[in-house]
Amino acid sequence: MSGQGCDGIRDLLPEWALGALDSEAGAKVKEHLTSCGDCGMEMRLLQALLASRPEPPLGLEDRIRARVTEEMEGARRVEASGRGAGVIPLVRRSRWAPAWALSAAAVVVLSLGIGVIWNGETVPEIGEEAIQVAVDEPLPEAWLWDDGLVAGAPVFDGLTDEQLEALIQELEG
Amino acid sequence: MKEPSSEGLLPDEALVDRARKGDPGAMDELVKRHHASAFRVALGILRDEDGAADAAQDAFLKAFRGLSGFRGDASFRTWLLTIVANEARGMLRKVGRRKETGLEVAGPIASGQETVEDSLENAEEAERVKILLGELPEKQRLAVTLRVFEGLSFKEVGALIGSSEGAARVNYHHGIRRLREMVS
Repeated sequence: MSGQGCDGIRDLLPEWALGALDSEAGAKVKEHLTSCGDCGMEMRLLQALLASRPEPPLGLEDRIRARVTEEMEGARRVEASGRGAGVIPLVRRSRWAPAWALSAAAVVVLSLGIGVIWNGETVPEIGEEAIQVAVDEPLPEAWLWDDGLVAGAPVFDGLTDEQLEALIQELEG
Repeated sequence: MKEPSSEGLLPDEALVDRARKGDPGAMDELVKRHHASAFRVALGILRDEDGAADAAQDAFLKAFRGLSGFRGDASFRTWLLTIVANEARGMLRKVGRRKETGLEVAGPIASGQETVEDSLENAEEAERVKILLGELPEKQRLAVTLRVFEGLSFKEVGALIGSSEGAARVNYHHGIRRLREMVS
């Protein structure tokens, strides 16, 4: 029969089953269980559940560690190459160039495109082979961080602020 | 064999601080402590071991990348498991095999006076309970597994299943009642 206080006790049963209750709360649960068959049965169900608790596959911990290490080393390589001075491994600065730089670059690219059309020049045809090369070419490392939200943005990712400014000036000049 | 490290004695908060500075030992320890929970949370959603392992791995990578955004409002564990749950749900959406049944369409709840068979303790019964657990609606199943397997509070469970603390409590107790009903 369910006695008074069963609801409160049942809320604590998972912690009791996991041995995570402090001694005072644990004593209350233990005392209640000796006199309440209904809560006792719920406790046995929780024990059966715990016995069925799935364990991770062997090697998962090592696999995750290895992947984390791989990413850290990748970040360090970027830092060592001078592209990301001051970058803390795995805690990246924004991979996107500043919004003003992207906007400016887009304007320049658009202007060049319009200029080509305006002058009546034809766009050189890109051969099948060139397309294949472009497809097969590995993406820049920064692409690995990409969520695919802004296509092409990783092109600017490897540039320092100084390089980016120089590029903008060059394009504008 | 790896020798015990000083990281093993530190609380998660201290490890997170070290990990923010790029300490690989701290990251290793966080993986050691939480990879099993991460796997189980993902498994509870995906019901596929390979997928769950992938989701757990990806969640750790995202968590470590995003440590600068971790404000410490919740514990690292809860934060990580939330990322795991999101990752697993994202994978489910990608493969388009989500079959969530909400509490609102769950079957009738028994009176709670059912008896549980005496032999539940043995492995065979544990296996049976495991199968029955899989028959619960997702939110009930997750509430039960997060409470019983991981010892999360109802507030933490609510955060992971996208509901309030009260709804998490209701889902848990409904799940337990239904399991008792099914095993009796």
